[in-house]
Amino acid sequence: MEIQDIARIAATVAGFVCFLTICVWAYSKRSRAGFEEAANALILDEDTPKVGSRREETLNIHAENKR
Amino acid sequence: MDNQATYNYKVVRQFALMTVVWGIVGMLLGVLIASQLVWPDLNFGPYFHFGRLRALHTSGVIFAFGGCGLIATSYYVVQRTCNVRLISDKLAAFTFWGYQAVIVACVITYPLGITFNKEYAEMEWPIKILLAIVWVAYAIVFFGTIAKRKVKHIYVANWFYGAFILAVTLLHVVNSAFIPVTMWKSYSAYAGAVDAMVQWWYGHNAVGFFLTAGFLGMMYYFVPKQAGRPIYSYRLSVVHFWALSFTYMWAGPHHLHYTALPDWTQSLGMVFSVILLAPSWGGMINGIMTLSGAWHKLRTDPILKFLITALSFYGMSTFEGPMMAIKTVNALSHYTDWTVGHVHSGALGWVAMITIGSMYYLIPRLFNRDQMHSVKLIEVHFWMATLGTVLYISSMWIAGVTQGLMWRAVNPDGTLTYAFIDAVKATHPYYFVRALGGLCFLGGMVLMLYNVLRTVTEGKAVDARIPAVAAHA
Repeated sequence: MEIQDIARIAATVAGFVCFLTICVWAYSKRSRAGFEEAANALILDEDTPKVGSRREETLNIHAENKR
Repeated sequence: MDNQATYNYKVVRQFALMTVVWGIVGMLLGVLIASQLVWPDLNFGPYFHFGRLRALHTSGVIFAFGGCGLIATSYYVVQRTCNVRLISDKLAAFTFWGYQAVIVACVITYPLGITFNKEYAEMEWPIKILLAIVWVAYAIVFFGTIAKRKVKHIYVANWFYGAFILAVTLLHVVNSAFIPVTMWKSYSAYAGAVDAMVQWWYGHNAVGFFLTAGFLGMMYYFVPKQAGRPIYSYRLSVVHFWALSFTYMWAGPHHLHYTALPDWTQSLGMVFSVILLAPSWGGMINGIMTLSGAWHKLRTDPILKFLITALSFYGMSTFEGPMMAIKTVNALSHYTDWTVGHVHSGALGWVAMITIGSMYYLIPRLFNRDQMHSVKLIEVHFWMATLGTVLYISSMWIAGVTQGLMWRAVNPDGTLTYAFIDAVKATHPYYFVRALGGLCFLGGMVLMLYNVLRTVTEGKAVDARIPAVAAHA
């Protein structure tokens, strides 16, 4: 077997082991809390403009932009 | 100018509006070339010939429509999830004007017959260089913004966008290797089967990282936001990301079954294509199950309909793809219109629908409105898009299988049963149905343009304020 072949096999096996490690890490208990926080943070970020107070907010931001 | 109290929505607005404009241009070209196949008399002179306009259609919908949509949403998502303004307004503006310049250059040169002759990479070398510069600037803006984030965790959508940006850089640079002859003519640096393999390594990874990973980034942000619920399983999304990244790179050879490519390479491509079914469906299930417990929202919310239907088409085409990559199936499907149908199941059903849904979410927010001018029109658009897609893909399935069967039919004495023109004649009615489906889809896009213009004129271009980091310290 040539060195090139060994290197190819090693890279394939290393890649596979790396992927398995990621799977174990993703499903470990330790990662759980952090993941849940990240998933919930997305929903908590309020990005809908408040249409009721739109005029006022627009004015504020314009004033801020000029500063 | 660099105001750290607000997000940079300006560049997002620019890219978002151009998404709609290029969508209409690209799809109009699609309807035109579909009509040219039905009525060949529509091929006027060399500049408006099918052979030249087809490349403009594919690049127009993939890179102009899809690309603008990806850049718009990635700039929005990276700012909102990292809680910071883009790292540089000037560089972001450069990416916008530079990217538009690349598109306009393609729109001018392709009909003139100036081409590098590589599918989905037809631009000649001066445009290739400009695109590379713009893309590096885009990478700097995106990753620079991630680097100065105020939130510790990098949300999964950014991982997908990041992989899309890095992979496209690699693909574009490697596949573009050229030997210039004149200002507007160059040749590929590779030759023979190697050139073909490099091209389809590029071609399939453009599918994998541009049309899949990029739009999955969109999915992982806009589906949870529109549904108002966190992603079904965050840990599955992590595995989904790495599984896709590890497997996609190897699937390219399935475009070269039964060619001069070594047999083992073809089999390798086939096996990895079949493996790809697992991560693709994992991602689809993750997106659709996000609605679990809130299915009723699908009845009333047309934006959610777009997003979830997109995922359904994603599931269908990522099932169909691995099947078609199996060599025995490919022996029937290759070079037929089945391939074209498969591509459009992904392009119209998945890519366009997830983009349209995301734009309907995004555009009102960029113009300080809580929703689009008319929700009713979104509903109409949804049904036109769905009907158009179904007409398109079902007609191409029938046309493709018909062609495949007619081409391979042999008489007992070994001669071919049908001449090539017989298969062309048999296909003709389906070409008409395809053009009709495309027209229906395009009509929906025109409604979208109207709806967007009304929303823009009623709203006001405002950069939203960056909220204080409180939810997650």
